[in-house]
Amino acid sequence: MLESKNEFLHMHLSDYLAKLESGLVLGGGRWIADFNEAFRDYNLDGLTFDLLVVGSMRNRGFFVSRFLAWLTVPNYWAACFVYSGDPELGQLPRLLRTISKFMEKNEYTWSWLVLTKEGPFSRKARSMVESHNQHEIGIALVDLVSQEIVASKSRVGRWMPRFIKTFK
Amino acid sequence: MKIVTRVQRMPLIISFTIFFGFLTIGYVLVNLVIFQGRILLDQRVLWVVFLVNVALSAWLGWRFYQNRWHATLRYDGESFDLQVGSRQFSGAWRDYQRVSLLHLGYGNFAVRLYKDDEDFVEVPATDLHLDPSAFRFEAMRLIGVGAPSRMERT
Repeated sequence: MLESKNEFLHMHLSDYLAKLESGLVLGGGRWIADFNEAFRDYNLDGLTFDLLVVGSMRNRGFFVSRFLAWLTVPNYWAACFVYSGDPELGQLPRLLRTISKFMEKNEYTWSWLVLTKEGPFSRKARSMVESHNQHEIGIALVDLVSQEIVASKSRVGRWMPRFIKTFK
Repeated sequence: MKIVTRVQRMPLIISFTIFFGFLTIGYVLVNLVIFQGRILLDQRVLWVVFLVNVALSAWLGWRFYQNRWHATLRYDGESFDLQVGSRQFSGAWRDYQRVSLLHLGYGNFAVRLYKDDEDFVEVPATDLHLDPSAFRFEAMRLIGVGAPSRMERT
């Protein structure tokens, strides 16, 4: 009974990706960056990311807001990667290396890596993420069943839960 | 071959208004400079001028809109042909490697088809009244990228 209730309540990965994409491009994500381009099944160095959303920190808009943004906000580029193929985080170093290479090549300033799973992450995985302190990459674990988010403690990671909590 | 084309109301209204404004200013200037304002006093002439102005603006506005904004997409499983105003792009799906959904602002979306990082074609999905996300997945299927089972669920 409990299992069937959970099955009904929990979110599937495809629904979460659609909501996260919409949240970053059209919703609250705009407060942090002008995420304007989204890729599905993005292949990078042999890894297929379920979703990649990219954008600049300078917002667009009409002349005045564009001019103010040009004056006050540095033209940093940001990306949000979502990966569901590594529930035990065995590939985390490879994922981070791939993202770092992508950032270096395309001159991105910071990135988020969202690792999703339909079920709880192991204690080891949670501690790996919590202890991650790379400044320019924030990591978060998203359990789609319990809708729990564990984010890294780095500056970029601390922002994440607010923007990736798109379960409703 | 599937053909997608829709008249975009806002650009059409904008082009009509531009020509209507210019023609009205033109009539007033001609009337003042050449006829010393005599024509504008005649009610019947004024109505004729107004109707001619509307008809001319509609024709010029439609031509301008077609040359600049009107979008038509023709595609089948092998290739596509996109025309935006007077610009035309043709291509085979297999020549493209990547698809993205691009937010152009104010709720307008385009679907970008990438040959490589620099070379891409932008399909104005909102202008064509297509569902941008659904068309993105259709383009991914035609190009042959992504996992089909995952796409079908979304």
